[in-house]
Amino acid sequence: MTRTARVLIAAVLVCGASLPAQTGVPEIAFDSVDLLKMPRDIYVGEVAGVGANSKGQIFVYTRTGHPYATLGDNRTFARGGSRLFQFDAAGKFVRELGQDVYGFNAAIGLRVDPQDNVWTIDQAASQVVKFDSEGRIALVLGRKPETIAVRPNQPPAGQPARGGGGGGGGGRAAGSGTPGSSFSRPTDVAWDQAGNIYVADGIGNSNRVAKFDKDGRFIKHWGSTGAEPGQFNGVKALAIDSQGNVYVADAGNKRIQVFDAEGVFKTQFGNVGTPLTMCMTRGTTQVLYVSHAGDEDGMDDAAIYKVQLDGKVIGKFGSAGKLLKQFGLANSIDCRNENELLIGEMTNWRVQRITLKK
Amino acid sequence: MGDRGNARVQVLDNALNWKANYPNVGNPWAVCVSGGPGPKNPGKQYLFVSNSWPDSAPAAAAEFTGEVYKMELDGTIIGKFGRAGKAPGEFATIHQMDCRDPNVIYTAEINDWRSQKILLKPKAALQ
Repeated sequence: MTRTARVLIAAVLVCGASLPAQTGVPEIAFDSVDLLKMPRDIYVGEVAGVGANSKGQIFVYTRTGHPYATLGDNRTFARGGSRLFQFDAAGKFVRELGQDVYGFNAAIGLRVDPQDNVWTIDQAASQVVKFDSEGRIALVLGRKPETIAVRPNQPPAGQPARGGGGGGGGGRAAGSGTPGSSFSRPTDVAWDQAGNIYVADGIGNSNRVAKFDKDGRFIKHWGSTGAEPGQFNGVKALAIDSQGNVYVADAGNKRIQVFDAEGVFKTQFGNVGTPLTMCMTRGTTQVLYVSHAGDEDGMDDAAIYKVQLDGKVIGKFGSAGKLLKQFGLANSIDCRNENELLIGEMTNWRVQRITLKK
Repeated sequence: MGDRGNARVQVLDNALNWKANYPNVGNPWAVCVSGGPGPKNPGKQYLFVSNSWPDSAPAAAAEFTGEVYKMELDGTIIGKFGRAGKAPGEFATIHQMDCRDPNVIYTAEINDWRSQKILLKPKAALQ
């Protein structure tokens, strides 16, 4: 990007205007099936994350089960409330992984990496947990706060109130960033081809992207709260292209920002509504799928956009609602196959398998 | 006693009378005194101290500490091992150690959700 273009974008943002709108987005025809087949006594709740591995096995991280909050002498201990399920390629339930794992509290995302490891992201525990292909815990990023507020906006006794957020803990000033691997309501994880780990951190106080090596050693981070290039207002999702560029869904600013692997801002684009999650295909010509939800529960305004990596919207499909082919907070997309997507929905407690018609 | 907030180990006698401070150990989250004479131990006891993140910093500071010190009981550091991290042989906030055998240390780590068995090779270190 030229210096002139960068200055122009910055000037537009400072003036409070949105990024230029793209008109005439074509509708993409598609079919859908409600995928998951559960046993009689096990229930899927809000589907925060869905992903498939190289064998077609499907993993779902969902808000369900029994959340507990135990009042200790000076802090509240929270546990339970989210579960990790495995299904076969046809959506038939296979087993539960990670029963009673310490960091399962409020699911917010799930990804499957190229080596078939399954990564869960939990916004209340503020942790990212890696399960190997056998279902064993292989890496833990972040630390669950020793106390998780059960009334998010009410400060502990004797401490001043602080704005919003809750849940993730930290107590740091908004926009100050967070050194190292202590997250504040992280939302997503991604990897570059060297295996470096990137965490979207997130929707709490941090508004940053944190980078770790493949063993989980903190390397660097970038971002703060705001609307300038390189700033975020709710880091909702990540994707990394084959060149190592990092795409960041900046939900509050209604844009996708693009950085190089060192966090240097490269460009940004809008036209994708309020990006809730993203998925980047793995083929030679990569594309992004971006889920938009224009209202709090995603029941009034929703769509999924298919976007070129330069930001040009190729098409869109779906609308808000509860019927098949409609979406209620599509919080997770798996796009291992470019034309056959798995869509996990929070509000509708389901996974749809979407087949796009070329 | 590991007095982590004050960045020291305090030594007291059996009647809880203060005897000494060892301030050269970072922020000690775990302390362990190895066992007395036995088949695998010539009889000398050692003090092991884990240095983890300071109380005044966020947990993220675990990236910058994580060593375990082997000490004489008089507070002299005679060696150290480990560093912060998540790979084998690295530590993320050791909260407790077992050191019945001074060359076999078991660690319990908060941030990595694991326990490691550490085999020390003091003779190899001297070669």
